[in-house]
Amino acid sequence: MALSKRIIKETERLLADPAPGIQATPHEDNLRYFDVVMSGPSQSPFEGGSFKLELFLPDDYPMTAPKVRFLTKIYHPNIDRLGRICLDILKDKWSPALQIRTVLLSIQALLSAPNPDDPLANDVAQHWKDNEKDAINTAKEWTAKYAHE
Amino acid sequence: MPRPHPPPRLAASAPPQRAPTPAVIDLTSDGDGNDSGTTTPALTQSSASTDPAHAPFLAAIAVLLPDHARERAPRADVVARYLLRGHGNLDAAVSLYLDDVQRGTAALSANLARSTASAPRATKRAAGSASHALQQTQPRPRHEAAQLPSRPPALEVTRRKVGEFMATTYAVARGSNLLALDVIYPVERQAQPAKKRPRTTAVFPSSSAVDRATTAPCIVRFTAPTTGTALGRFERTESAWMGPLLDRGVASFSVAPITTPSPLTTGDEIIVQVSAYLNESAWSTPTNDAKFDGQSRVPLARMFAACHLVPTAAGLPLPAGGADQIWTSLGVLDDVPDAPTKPAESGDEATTENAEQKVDPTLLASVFDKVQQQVEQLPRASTPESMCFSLRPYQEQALWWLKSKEEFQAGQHMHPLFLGLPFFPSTAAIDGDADPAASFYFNPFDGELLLDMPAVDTQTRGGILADEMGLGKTIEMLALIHANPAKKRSRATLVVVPMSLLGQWESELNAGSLPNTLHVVSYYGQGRALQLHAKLPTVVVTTYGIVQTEFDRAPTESPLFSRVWHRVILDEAQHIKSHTTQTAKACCAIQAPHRWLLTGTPIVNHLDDLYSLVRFLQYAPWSQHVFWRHHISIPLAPVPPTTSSKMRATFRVRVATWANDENGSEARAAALEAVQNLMSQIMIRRTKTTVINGEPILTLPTKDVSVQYLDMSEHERDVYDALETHTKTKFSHFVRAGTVLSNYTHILALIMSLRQCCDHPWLILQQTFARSGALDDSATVELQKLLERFGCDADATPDAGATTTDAAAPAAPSNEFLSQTVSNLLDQGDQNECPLCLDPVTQPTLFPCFHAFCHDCITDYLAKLAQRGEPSACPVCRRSVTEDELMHVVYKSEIAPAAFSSPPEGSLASWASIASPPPPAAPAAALVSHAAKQVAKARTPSTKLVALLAYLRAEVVPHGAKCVVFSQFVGMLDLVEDLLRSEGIGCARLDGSQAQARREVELRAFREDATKTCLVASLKACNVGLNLTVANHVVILDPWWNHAVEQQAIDRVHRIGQTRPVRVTRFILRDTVEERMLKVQAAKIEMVAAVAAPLASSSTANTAAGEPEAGVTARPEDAKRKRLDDLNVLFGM
Repeated sequence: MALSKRIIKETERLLADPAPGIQATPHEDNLRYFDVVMSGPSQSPFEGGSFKLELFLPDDYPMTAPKVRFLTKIYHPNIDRLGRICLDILKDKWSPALQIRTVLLSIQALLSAPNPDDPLANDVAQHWKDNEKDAINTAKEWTAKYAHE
Repeated sequence: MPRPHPPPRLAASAPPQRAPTPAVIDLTSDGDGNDSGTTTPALTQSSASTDPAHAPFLAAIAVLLPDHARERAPRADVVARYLLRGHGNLDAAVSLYLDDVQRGTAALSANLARSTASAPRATKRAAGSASHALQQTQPRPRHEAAQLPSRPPALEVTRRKVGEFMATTYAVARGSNLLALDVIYPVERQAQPAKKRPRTTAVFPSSSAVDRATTAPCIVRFTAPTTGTALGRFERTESAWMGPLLDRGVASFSVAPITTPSPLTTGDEIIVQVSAYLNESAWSTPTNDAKFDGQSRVPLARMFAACHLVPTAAGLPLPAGGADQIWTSLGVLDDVPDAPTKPAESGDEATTENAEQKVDPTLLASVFDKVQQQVEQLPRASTPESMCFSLRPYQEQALWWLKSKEEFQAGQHMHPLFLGLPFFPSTAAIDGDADPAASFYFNPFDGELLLDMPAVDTQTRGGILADEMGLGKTIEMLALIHANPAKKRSRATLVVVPMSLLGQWESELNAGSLPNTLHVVSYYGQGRALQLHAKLPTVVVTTYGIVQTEFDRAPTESPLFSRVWHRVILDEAQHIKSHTTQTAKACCAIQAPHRWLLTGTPIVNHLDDLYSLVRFLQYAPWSQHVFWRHHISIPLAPVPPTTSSKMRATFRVRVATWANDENGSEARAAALEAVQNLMSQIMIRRTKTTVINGEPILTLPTKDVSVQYLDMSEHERDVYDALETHTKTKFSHFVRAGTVLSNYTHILALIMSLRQCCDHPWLILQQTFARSGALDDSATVELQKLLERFGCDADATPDAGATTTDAAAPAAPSNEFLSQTVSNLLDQGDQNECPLCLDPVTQPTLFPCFHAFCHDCITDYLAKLAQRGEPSACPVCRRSVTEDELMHVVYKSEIAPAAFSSPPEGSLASWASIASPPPPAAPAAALVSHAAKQVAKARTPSTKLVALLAYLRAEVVPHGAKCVVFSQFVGMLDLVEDLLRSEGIGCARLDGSQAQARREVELRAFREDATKTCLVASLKACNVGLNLTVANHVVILDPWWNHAVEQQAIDRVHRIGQTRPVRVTRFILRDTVEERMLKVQAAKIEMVAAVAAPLASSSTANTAAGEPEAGVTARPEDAKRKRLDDLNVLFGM
């Protein structure tokens, strides 16, 4: 089937030519399940951290978006305590022209540019809005505490 | 109630032998005992008036009383006095004069002897003959009557004379000397024979029974005072209203004959002078308010009109003119001759149904009939000096009306619904000794009569300005703000508008006023604040949202509610149409003595919408909900058709409690009338078609519509001809099979592609020809062909050495991308990767954005989207598409053999190949660069685009004018936009896909940005209210099926506010479907005109095909044939 062929193709490309700061490795027993390690973008409160994510390609991928979740605890207005990510391309703005690579790059970009106006974690977002400096400090603390291995 | 009656002076001289006049007691002459000496016309002997102004009066006298006129023509001062008494109305004056002559004569013949007693005064006046002197001193008989000892005292105060009029009656008796000039005859109503109807017919009467009941003549007669024999009968024009008044005991009449034919034969004409009186029971008192049912309203008004009563006071402005105009304007004169004066018991189910059917469909429209009737007679107020432009005449009328409403002073004026009417004038009043109590008060809207001046129980000054959209309501209000400023500096005008109009109001208020005459601020937004202590602005503009928010939060702290405004104006007042909403409540809580509502649609759904408006205006008593419900809502509520007859009956009873009729039909009519009357008092409404002084209120600059015929270029002709041949073949196939009408939609689609091809062949290639919908079947586009058609003179500038990307360099990125894609496609190489499967594209399918996918992948994806109910869109750029727009690329090597061997029907590739044989195979490399360059140079403008550009360059751009370009095809709009942009002509864009906010941005840009010369618009996006008067050029690129739609498009520009002549140009390509469409259009216009013509003529047109004519009744057949004919015309067959 052309579509699972696509998964293979994407996987090959991810391994052959990984995006900078992103490492995505498929499980050996399940090619639809990826372990992702993402380094925190520089100039961001997450700089220096390395974050673990899990990525799963549903059966009808790429007709539906991949499921992505942070495994590492992270203090970010668009990421909740369970690691779920509020990102439009993972939801209604998904297009089959997007790929694993573009999704992960988008998540990396989200780390660089938190958007407290469209929050998933309300308390964090409020903190971000009320006192951005303080929130960034907390994010830095969390990064140091949880994302350093 | 009547004042105490002074002791009659002439009691001693009352002739006891005189025939008793029936209950004629004229209280109006109280206290003017001398009047008999000064006004009895018979004494005015000396010399007849020679004043030319009196000629009509004298002529009338001469006709009516030839003997009298010859012997004792009245003097000039006498004539003048009667004219004055008649309020300038000739008829009334003559009538009064005749009356007095009659009385003088009567007195003379009744008591000659008494004359000597008064002789000194006569001689003092040096009158002529003794007999005249006698007449001079003769008291008027109505005074005598007051002294008749036999009369019960109570009667003396029971009726008061309100006026006199002349009437022609018909004798109903025969004999000699039945009539005498000196006798006053009583008037009575002939008793109606009681209608005996079986019970069943009372419930379901036959229609004839209804007719009889409602059209039964109302007979009013006058009788011999002594014997009671009927002598004469009034004509229907009088008896129709006299009858009800007599029935109800509201009024009474007496008659003095003017002509006394003798011997009298039945049917003879008797001209009589009728005196009209109001009985005591007519007056509304705290204990007697039974008259407030409207039943006497019209008859009373007819009576006052007949007596030529001119209101001495009116709570509301009345039209200029005499009594007739006034009463006509009140709407009480038109309907009476036809209005059945049926007794209350005659109502029944059948008439109810009629009434419902009659009222409901026209209900909403009819509410404003009366409102619109009165506008023509309004005077004008001049434009306030502090405004910077002058108002149009109809706007000045509005200003006058608005001002008159605001200047209406509570306390100084009486109740706005009442009219003050004089009693029959006493001579004292004429001599300047006005008797203030000599008037009574009549409410022409419900028939209430009062002796005391009705007090105003409302402080409200304001109303509803309901001019149709586009007539300048804002400007009229601005004029009012200027014309009627607050007396106190601290008071301002508050304007409440929908948020979207906030800016518009502010700018219009400022733009219409001279600098420093108006200080406008808007009260809006988060940090809003009004500086109450500093200099207050003259106008504060805020929104419904703010009003409601502040009302909900803390009204006492809000500057909107804690102060009294000079004036409050609600724009788009339908916002408060539901009186239960918070917004409506909030608006009603705003305090201001002057309250105005602006709306173009005062009634949105039902009449109750008006209640909220009236409530805002605080227009007592209608502003009380109980009152409104009782008098308007309940009577007018439709009876649910599904309810059982028992429920219906219950409902009727509920309604009938008000109107005393069994079924509510009269209640409905009365309620509707009440609304009409109410609205005519508080609302002014003009439409664009309103005519004032014989001219429409709007005169627009000229409009010049021309058709510009164009010839197709050779390339276009090639494509078009091929396409037309194709469609014609299909059409004739349908014709032969007789399935034209069942394939009507399909054929329309064929014609649509022809029409699009006229605009620009790109339009059809872009979306493929066949409309079967399925991708597998969709026609294939011959890419090479496509490029050739729209590449421009590629051969003239050979650039073979350049690589594809280089060639595309000067073009826009999209073109670069396009060329890249196309070149890749042409290459048949694998550079193009399908974004879905990440493999090289197989069976490429192109989106209009030129993103290419594998046919299978994209089909799969689109099917998924459809399954989820999501709109189709390009996966890469998310541009929405329809499947029709997809292009399936087929390589020449594949199609060429197929095309020649067996052309599949409906395939563009096939016919295109046939129409113009494929060029000899070229080296692949050359082909690539060639094609890419062509594409990169953008699409060649079509004939129409070239013509449009030429037109704009010649007529629009040099003059700094603006132009609206209409097309029906969004693709064409795209092309126009691209072209203009690349030519450096600024343009805005309006089409159906844009959100409202986006449209407003575009419109503002077009209106305000001088560089935006063009508006490229699809008509469907141009809603009716759209004002495009900033432009005065219109180009219609393609003809509409319906001429009226084109007209509408033109009207966006050619409407109020347009100051320059409008030029409309329609582009039509010669020898194409467009030209033939014009023919069909013309035929349609004719047909519409013919609909009004007699049916017989309409059936002749369609017999051409030789089929037997089905006759005029076979309308559907006609319609079908007509459609077929149209198609034949369109295909040029």
